[in-house]
Amino acid sequence: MSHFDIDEYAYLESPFHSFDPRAKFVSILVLMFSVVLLNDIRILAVGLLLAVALVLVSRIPLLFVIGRLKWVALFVLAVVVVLPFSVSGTALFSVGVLTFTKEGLLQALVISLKAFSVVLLIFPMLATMKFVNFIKALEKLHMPNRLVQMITLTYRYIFVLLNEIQRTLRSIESRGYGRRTSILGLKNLGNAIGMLLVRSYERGGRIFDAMVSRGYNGTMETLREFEINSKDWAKAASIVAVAVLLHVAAFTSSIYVGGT
Amino acid sequence: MKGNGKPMVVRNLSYRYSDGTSALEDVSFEITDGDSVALVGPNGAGKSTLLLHLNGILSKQDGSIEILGMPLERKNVGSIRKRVGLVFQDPEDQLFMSTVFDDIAFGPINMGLPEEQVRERVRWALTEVGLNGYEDRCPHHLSLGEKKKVSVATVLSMGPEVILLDEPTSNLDPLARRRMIEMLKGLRATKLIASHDIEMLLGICDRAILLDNGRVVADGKTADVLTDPELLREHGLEVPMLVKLFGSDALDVIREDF
Repeated sequence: MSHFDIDEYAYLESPFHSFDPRAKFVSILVLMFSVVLLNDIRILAVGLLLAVALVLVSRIPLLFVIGRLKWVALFVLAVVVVLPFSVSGTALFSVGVLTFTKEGLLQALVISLKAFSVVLLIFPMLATMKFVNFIKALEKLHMPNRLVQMITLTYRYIFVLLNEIQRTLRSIESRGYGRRTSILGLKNLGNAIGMLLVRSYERGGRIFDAMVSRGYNGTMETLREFEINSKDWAKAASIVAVAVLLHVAAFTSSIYVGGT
Repeated sequence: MKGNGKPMVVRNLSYRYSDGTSALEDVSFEITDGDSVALVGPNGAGKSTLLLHLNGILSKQDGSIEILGMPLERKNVGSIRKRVGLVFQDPEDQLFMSTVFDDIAFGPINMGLPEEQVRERVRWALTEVGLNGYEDRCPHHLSLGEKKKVSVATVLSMGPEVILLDEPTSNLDPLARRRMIEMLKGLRATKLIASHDIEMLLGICDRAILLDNGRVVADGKTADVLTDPELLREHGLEVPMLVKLFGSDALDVIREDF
């Protein structure tokens, strides 16, 4: 059975692929926060361009990126449609009782720019490393070990569970009860999900036994495998510098323009 | 080796599940250092329950278990688990880390070994199961045969003196099964193998314990216990075709074959 391969683009070559996972995660996270905290629409536009540039540098196929952005667009679209009508301010035009305001439009644009920039930044951050290395980076960055364990086990078992539910559904189907939208179909689906819960619970018990029998004592550790070099520091420093510069730019422009 | 050359001594072990069903009743046996012992019996005979006891996962309700000279008690359970490895039947349960390396390193890390030793043990365990170069693979993408071998490696890396294996050859295709058997034969530790694969057990083990309804029904040489068609049929098992055809002569053929 084929699954969506989470590590599909982790083996390309780009400055982001060779970037130390910890430094990459932290520095891009800083950039994300920097963008989210901006409110100047012009600087946000610069932020979006930057995000696009970073995606291009990371060599992740644009078609893949656009495919993922579809879902963000759906969410953003709702904001863009609703906000201009719901925020009060200077009216641009009216449709019946609804007034389309300039302030609303600006807010909608600000939110969309932020959303797209941050989502775009996820690609150079996460798609350029194997998911395993991302988990390790979190571990080495001293994320609470319980959370690391939860992510590790989720990543390990999500496909096992998917396989299991697919098998259950298939066996229901093979006995003539398809996934039809009827009370019976829903009942069967409910039963399948119930079975999955029971099986997962039992599997969880067996996994725990297996962990305990190999000396598990509450923490899950792996060996250090990352080595940060001067290049990584340079990359991280530049990204953080950009993050800071965005805010410096926003600040200075607000002084000159007299506040926006 | 502590324990007078008897790494495992089980006396009058009984176990009931919480619903009252009896799983083990008055089970007694000893295993001598370096033995390869077969544990056979029909489904539900209590084989897996017994294995879980020997590693301290289930705690005994009645009777006594002595492992490597130590009584199996709460205070010893940690050191016993380091020295008695348990390989579960389903590798999906056994392999819970995201890479083969991390999984094999899990035990040694928990034992508190220094990094260089952990790496050395992972390397050695992978060589032992014939899967060098698999360090960075994700368990999810391995074949069942490979998963089962990695499962054995995760236990080998802890350097156990006794290895308990639950159905090491089940569900494997013939070639993967053969490779698994060859690998098991090469392992130097004391082994207790629970399985329905009588042919494999005849090939690897010197001794067999037959369990049914939680009781030890027979305990003797594999050549005697596992080639007795009456006895096996009575307990839901069957002698291999080769034995049916050639009797005990088949034994040499099977041993040579693996």
